[in-house]
Amino acid sequence: MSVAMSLLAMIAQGPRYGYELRAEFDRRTSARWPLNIGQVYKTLDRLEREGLVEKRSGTDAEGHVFYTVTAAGVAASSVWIQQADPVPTRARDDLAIKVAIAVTLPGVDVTALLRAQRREAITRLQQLTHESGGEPVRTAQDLASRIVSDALLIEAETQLRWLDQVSDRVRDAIARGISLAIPFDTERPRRGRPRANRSTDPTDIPGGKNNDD
Amino acid sequence: MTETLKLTDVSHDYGHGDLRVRALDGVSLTVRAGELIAVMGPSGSGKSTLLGIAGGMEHPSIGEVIVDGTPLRSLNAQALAAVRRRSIGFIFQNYNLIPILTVLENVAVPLELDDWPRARALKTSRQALAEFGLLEVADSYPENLSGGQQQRVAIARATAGSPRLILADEPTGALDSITGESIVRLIRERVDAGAAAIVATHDARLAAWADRVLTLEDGHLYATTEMQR
Repeated sequence: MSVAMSLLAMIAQGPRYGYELRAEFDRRTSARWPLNIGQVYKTLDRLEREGLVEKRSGTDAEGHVFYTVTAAGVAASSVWIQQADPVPTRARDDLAIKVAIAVTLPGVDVTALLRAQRREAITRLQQLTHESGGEPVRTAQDLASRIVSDALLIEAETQLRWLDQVSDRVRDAIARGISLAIPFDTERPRRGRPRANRSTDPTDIPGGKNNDD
Repeated sequence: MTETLKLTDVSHDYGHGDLRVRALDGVSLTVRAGELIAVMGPSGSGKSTLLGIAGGMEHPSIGEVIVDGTPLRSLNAQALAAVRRRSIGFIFQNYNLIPILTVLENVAVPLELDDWPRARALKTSRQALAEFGLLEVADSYPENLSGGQQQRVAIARATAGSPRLILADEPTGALDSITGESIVRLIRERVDAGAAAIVATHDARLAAWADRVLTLEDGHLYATTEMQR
């Protein structure tokens, strides 16, 4: 969606051809998510089908086919730029699951896990910092580049802050004498039945026909 | 590379008897010229204690600290103060500038304390301020400067005498992220020019500029990452 609308927004500024759009997209996003030309033309075809752009008849002297924006395209581009995007929500946070499971299983060295994960996050931050160069912003292109690298840096930084928070919570829980391990329930839950009606059938085992995984 | 700082099996306690708290526990660390080390860790993990001991502000309860080949414990108070002035530049979160002195005079203070003739100290300080783009505020007082400017003055003061070791305690803690980035870039430049530095910080973005990131947890120092530059 953002690629299609980015291309549309650039065409809304004046007629553009495919390779030009790819180069402009990469330039403005520091080639962090580079487009291949096939993807660009597929997207242009889609925009054309949706009535947001039109292909000009003929080519220029170098054989470039130009696309121009329609009135509907101008409106769509304007809405895309001005409207807030929803905050992304992950259906599932794999790391949060892993840490929550590890913390509550007996005998797991949570400190070692958190330390290893911190190492990953800091290494990622170091790589991103190194790649971004950290030079002060002097041009509009520097600014665009920093906007993209900041998004990635802050994502890695957020994970690190969360790991700090986990460490603090674990330390606090231990200090308050809370046992971290959650013992396994000896009464096995059955699918579709309320806990009050638990089966005493010894054949009702996980992995059997009642297992809902 | 030259070993600018070497800590060997350093432990440090505060208090006595039942109230004794071990702030550092068996810490060993070598920092070489051209190396920037970031030390992270929660509040109370011993980061500031580590910097204080590395900088000779206090001797460790156990262990050895060597700066530029000199064991600090072997020095008397006067010689230790001279090592601190000549070899070590300190940078603090709250800048620690002297409010009744101008920016130029602030930068010149450590040089004059080290018996530099006043004219030479002021000339060197002026050059340091020029390098940091602060010449236009040389005659201002700290209270008239922004936080970022004050921290740049503090770095100019810490590095005017070209110390071989820079110790910074949360240098960007009071600054916004963009100003903080400019501050860490200045420290990085000093290190790339041949100094060694340890920066204690909560700020992961700052730590990412380091060659090595270490983590202090309950007085123990753990290697976290190493960046190949």
